[in-house]
Amino acid sequence: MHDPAAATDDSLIAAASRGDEAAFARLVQRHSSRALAVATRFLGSPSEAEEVVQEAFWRAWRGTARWRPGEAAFSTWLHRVVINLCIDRERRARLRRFLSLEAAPEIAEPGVSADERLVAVGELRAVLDDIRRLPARQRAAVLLAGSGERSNAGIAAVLGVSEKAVESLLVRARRSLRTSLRERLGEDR
Amino acid sequence: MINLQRFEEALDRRGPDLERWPLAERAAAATLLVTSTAARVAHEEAARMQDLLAAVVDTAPQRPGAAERIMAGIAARRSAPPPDPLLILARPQAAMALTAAAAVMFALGAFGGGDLAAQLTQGPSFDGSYSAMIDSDTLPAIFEGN
Repeated sequence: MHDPAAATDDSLIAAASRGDEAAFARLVQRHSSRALAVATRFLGSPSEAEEVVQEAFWRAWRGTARWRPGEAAFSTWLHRVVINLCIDRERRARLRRFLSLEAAPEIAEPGVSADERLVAVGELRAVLDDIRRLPARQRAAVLLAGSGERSNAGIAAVLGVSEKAVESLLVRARRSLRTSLRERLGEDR
Repeated sequence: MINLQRFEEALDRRGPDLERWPLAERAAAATLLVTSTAARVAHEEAARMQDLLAAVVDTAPQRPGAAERIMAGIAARRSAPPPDPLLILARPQAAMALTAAAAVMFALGAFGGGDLAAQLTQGPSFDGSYSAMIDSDTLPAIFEGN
């Protein structure tokens, strides 16, 4: 591969299927940051998010030979797996907590970075808490919408639901977040 | 013409970026924004929420070297032997979890809590199309046979 930076995802996957680890590493470099951001905000934990994203890339690595080029964007597939791994993980954690096998986790890991310390205060912190309280699929839809990279049709492709279903999820999520925002603004006055 | 209520519904459905709205709705919304103060307030509020959501994703904390660790993890898993399922079940934590789960499910079933038991094992009560996504092993349909 002459210029890995300019290579398409499909060509990188094809190279990876022939054992080219450098090509797969390029895919990881290209897509892991966004996937980690969504997973971190979904789960509230950077370390858990990294485990989830690593699992998604592991599945991608194992599936490179079966990739169908041009059928869907790799990013769509990756986010789909990441979101569902997040949902699985949260469901299992809820069951374990119900069975008292582990203590309830913190909402977020403290003091990870300067950015996180900034996020820990003020309006953004409050919105983060509101997002964490949303039902899982509303949370997934609103985080994907928040990144601004996908249309509702793109979010539907990630979640594997219809565009109408995405609109319904977004309506409920945004109304809920807006209600909380208005309540906080009312309290501040 | 679009009224305020429908405009607010459309904001929730499509977000505040009117460029992403269908052409007819976009034109109606633009007209309403010129004539209605309440519509402008609603649009500003939606834009503010979108900015917050973008900031939530953009400021997600990431530990340096994540991509390298992901690749190292993949390399480690490639060289690791597959786990023995009997050894996993023999772990004390797994045995305790299985025992506790069996006891709870038995109790829930015995006292008429079958629905709750089903919810706990199946996860959130998503609709059919989404619940099919819950088991990640069945999800990556874009890969053949996965």
